[in-house]
Amino acid sequence: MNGIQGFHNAYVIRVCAALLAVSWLAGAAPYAAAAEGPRVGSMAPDFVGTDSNGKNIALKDLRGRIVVLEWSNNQCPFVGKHYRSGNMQALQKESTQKGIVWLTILSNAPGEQGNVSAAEANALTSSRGAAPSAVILDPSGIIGRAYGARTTPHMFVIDKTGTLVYMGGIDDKPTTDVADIATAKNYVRLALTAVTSGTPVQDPITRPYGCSVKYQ
Amino acid sequence: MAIEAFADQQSVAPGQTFRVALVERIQPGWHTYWINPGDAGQATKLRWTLPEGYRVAEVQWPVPQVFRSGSLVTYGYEGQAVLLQNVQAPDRLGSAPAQLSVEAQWLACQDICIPEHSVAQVTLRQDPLAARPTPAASPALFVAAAERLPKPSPWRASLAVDAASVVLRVHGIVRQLPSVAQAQFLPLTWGEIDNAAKQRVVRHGADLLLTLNRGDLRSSPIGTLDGILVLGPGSGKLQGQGYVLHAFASDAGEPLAR
Repeated sequence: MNGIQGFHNAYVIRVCAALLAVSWLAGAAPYAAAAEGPRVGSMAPDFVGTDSNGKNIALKDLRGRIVVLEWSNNQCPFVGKHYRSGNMQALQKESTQKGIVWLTILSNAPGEQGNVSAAEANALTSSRGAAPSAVILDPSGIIGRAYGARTTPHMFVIDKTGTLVYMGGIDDKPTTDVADIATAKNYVRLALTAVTSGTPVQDPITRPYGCSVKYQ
Repeated sequence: MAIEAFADQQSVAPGQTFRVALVERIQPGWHTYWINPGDAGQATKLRWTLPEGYRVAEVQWPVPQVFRSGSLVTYGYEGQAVLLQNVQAPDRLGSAPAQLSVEAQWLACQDICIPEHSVAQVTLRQDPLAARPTPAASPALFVAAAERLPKPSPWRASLAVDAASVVLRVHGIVRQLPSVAQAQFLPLTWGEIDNAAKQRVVRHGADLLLTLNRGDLRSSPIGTLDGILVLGPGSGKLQGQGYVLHAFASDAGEPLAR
């Protein structure tokens, strides 16, 4: 818990710095680099998003840290599988305790399942015992489209230099069955272990599985 | 969704192969998924519990529909879908009726998705001494289901692959179907093809060329590509028919045109 708290303080400072830079460059509006879609081995598409506490977060300001992006929809049964089991929360805690930044991103449009207010997003974090560094609200889908996020969950890992090193599924068992988690190969955990120890990610691109992201 | 199971015979003889059908009755507005669900979703999974010695083969999937939702494309079924499988009976049969039970797990989606599961059964008389089985009471279901399966392709297919696209060439198809105007390729597996990208279809002599954008695995080599070619408007009686393509990459450097 101390680790997370400590990290959060450092994070707030970075985010404030980001705010200044962003408001000068592009205003406070959500922003993402236009791209042909993300490519593993290339720079991850840049973005600025607003989190559930009203703070702006710029990917650029997270250089020097490993970043995980998790697309989510709390009512999707595939997301439910990983939260009811505690699987996603465990990976979030494990990661943030190591100083990894975990951003949960909600790109479902207003009126669609899984689109929640900032307060609802915070309530979900607390009721589920989730531990992301932040939850970014992306109802316009700008960040989602920049990453070609198709499913909930859809996972991305970015290394300390800002290079995309993993994109795909949370694991290799594309089901809604909690019982499958025990025998699944968790690609995100493996990618994080590799990138933390400076070795290549074994499976850098896998099939994302889940509900569709419901874009505007 | 409701499911029901059927066999194409009322009784079974020793060593015989027969067919079972799992019928999905899907509620209006909802759909279930093909073996490759596409950009989201989950294929229906069937698990049979059979009497000792019986063996069940893989599911034969009917040609799916293409569902487009914003920038995503999925493949599946609306209304009713029938999944066929062959079952082989053992050489020695008991005299009690054979109970074949199937547990189906599926994801039904409209805008939202709901995972469901259910069990269905079919019972067959076992005739240990019979040479010939009794046919099903209503064979029409199996006839209709077989018509919806993709057919083996009478046309050879090959690939030319570059960094951004795959050109799928269906050889000689124009000779047999001179009016083919539209066709769509549905990939059997994830990653090679961008499901949502527009497929450019042009005739080149007797061949049809489909230019497909590469998918998430765009930096990996592609040796073969499996999927179904669905013929579109302009294909006369064959419109909507699917053909199983197994395309091999042509030798590096081979020009696109012959």
